[in-house]
Amino acid sequence: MDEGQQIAQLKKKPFAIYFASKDEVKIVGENADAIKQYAAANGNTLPTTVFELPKVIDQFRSMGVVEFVKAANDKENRDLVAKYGGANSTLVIVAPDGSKIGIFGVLNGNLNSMVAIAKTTIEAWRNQQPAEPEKKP
Amino acid sequence: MERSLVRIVWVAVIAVLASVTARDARAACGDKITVDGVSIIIPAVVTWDADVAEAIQVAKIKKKPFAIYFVSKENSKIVGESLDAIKAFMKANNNTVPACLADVPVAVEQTREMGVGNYVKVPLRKENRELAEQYGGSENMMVICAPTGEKLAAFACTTEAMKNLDAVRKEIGAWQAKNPQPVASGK
Repeated sequence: MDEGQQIAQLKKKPFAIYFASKDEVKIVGENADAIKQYAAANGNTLPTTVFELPKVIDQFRSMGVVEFVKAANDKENRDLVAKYGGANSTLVIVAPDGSKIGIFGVLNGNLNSMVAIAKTTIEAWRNQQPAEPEKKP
Repeated sequence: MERSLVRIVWVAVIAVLASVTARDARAACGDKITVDGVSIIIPAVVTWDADVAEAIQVAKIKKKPFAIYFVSKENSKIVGESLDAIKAFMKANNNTVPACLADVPVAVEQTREMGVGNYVKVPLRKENRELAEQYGGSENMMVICAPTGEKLAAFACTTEAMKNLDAVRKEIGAWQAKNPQPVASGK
């Protein structure tokens, strides 16, 4: 979380926190070996977000979200969950100052409509930010 | 019976995941689309740092190696960029795209698994000549660096070269052994 925010502050761009159950957080966004191990230990079942989330993240990357962190929706993160209103399988977009820009359910049906709403929300936040000169590498 | 069927389906899914290759990683985040009669699979978007100085800062925050991708000025417009940029490029280039469009997200995926934390794209133009010389960077080459900026490894982002990145993995592993990371808690 701190790392995500530090990078967001450096880049002056939003970052995202993905809230998930304690179990899901272990494998979502992880490599094939971790997924295989999890499936083997869980009767060969996997949460659908293992497949859905990479697509969602890809869309948010193209909107300029620079960093993604995951947080278990558990006691340890109670304050974080309460601060952002996070629930299982939700992605919270956070400004570099730590304020919430928007929250999106990853499993709530149509990816296209979620992406369209997210684009508008992030764009509205961006329009409120002071203009930065573009850097060329 | 139904449970067995579900199990078989998952076993099949796992079998596919077990052979995660560049292609699988790409397909996970992309759909096949047709632009003016030409079919492409949408490659993954890459979050590029603004420049090498920023990449070094991010790498120091993450305490992980970073990668510099050297690319021609023209191809830099689309590699790791959004679909809109790709469509605009195709329109201006007779509906063609370079192979690196698909290969680079795969290289990113593979090196991310090895522990690379962030990426910067450097177009090969005059202003970046010194940087290219410093890292021995050439067209379509990915250079892996320590957070200090020291070069660790390099490889060409071609399907052929990426079939065996053991040498790159070894160099990153050696750096990680000297710079142990705190174990991630999954939070």
